[in-house]
Amino acid sequence: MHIVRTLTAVTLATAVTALSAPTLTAAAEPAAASSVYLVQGVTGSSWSLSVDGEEVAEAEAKEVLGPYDWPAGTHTVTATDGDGEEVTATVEVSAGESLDVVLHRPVDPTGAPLFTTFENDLAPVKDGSGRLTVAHTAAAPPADIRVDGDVLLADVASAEEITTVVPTGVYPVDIVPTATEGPVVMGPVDLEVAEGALTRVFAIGVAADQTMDAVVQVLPLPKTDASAPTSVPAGDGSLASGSGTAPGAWLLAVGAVLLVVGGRRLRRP
Amino acid sequence: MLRAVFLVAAGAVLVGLGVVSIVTAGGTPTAPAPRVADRSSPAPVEATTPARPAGRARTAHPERVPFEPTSVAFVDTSGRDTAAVDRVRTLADGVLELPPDPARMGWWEGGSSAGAPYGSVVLAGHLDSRELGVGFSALMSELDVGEQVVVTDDDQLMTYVVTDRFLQPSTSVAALAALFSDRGAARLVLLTCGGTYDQEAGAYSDNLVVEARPVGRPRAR
Repeated sequence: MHIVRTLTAVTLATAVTALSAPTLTAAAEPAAASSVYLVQGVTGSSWSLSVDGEEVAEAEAKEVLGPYDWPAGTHTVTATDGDGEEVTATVEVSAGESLDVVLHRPVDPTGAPLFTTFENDLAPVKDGSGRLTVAHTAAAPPADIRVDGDVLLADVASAEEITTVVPTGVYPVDIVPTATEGPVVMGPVDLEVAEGALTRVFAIGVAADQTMDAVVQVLPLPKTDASAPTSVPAGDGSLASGSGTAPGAWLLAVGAVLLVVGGRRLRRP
Repeated sequence: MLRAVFLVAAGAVLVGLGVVSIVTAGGTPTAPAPRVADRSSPAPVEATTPARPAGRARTAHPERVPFEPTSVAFVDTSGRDTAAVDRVRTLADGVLELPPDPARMGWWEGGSSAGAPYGSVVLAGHLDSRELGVGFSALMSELDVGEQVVVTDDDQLMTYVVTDRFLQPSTSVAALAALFSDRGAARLVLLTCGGTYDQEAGAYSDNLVVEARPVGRPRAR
């Protein structure tokens, strides 16, 4: 039975969150409000999510909810499934913080799901590039993320993430156990890295069951200009090689120094 | 006489059975009587343990994250020469801004960070300055293929090995664009001036370019 998802033409469905990308200057201040997303990363299941005792949503696997504006402080998140299993945790939120709160399996797929928080890096990114963060939230061993078979990001373990900046575009990505050539536990799939944005990928599922999948979340970022220079004027000729006047100036300078030093010597008793 | 024996035997059997039944009744576990609701212990429907804090995700191998250089060193030149690095940008007229002090180099913010998987990490500096003297970049003319250039910030270090050194006419814009590309293989590009100085034009004829390839990944200092 064909289980592994090896559809090379499939572009991962993106949960594009928030709207128009503001072209802010690099000096833009973060909003004082926090920005919290809830990510349901437990494949093949549905969970009722509550925050501070109030139900927020019934979330299927791969759903990204929010952003929510939680006041700074401690909050309680709870997930309940249809069989009465409950997962609960407290989350500390600071003013102005952007956070993903992710429900996911531990490394051992028989273990109870847990919540882990992931802070979003919303610093500006240069034009023509995107910030890519891959997070390991799967029942799987430490992994390498590869592009066209070459390791892009190495050795990410459960509840860890790695960030890099790459030119925008579509990357054929797969995931293998770290420092190995395989077996491929996810992919290859086409991953689009958006411009002027943070593209977050949460690897989810159970490697042993070949049910690995990914949640893709795109958050807009301020951009810095990246227009290539057209000239690099890097000198004023005072050390010019082959120029008529500059070596003369050097000789004068050296000569002047010698005169001063010599003059001092002569004055010594 | 037989009847007496029978009766005694029957009696003994009955007594025996009685003893057995009593013994059995004493040894057999019986279902406990249903408990009356005990108000002193809570109903087992709510979680009694307080919620624990959610774990915060860690960065895997933080020493490998691409970084903005704050220092550059030429390892194999006569002294181990080092320059501080400032962030610089492209000015409105297309000129690459450079630190006025030729002892310092500029890292172009539109280029790649050290250790990024693609594109050029661009460092440029003044060759010379009438007021401030000879630049760190003057050492670039000594860099040979195979020699090391090391780029650092406070926590991390990235090593490059020189692959090429050449002069390029300073008016060759298209060639410059290729050097500044963020899409090619990861590399380090060092730029200063070179060639001859044209007094009338007020400019050097060429840019001196040194290219270097990354060695491995960034690591902790």
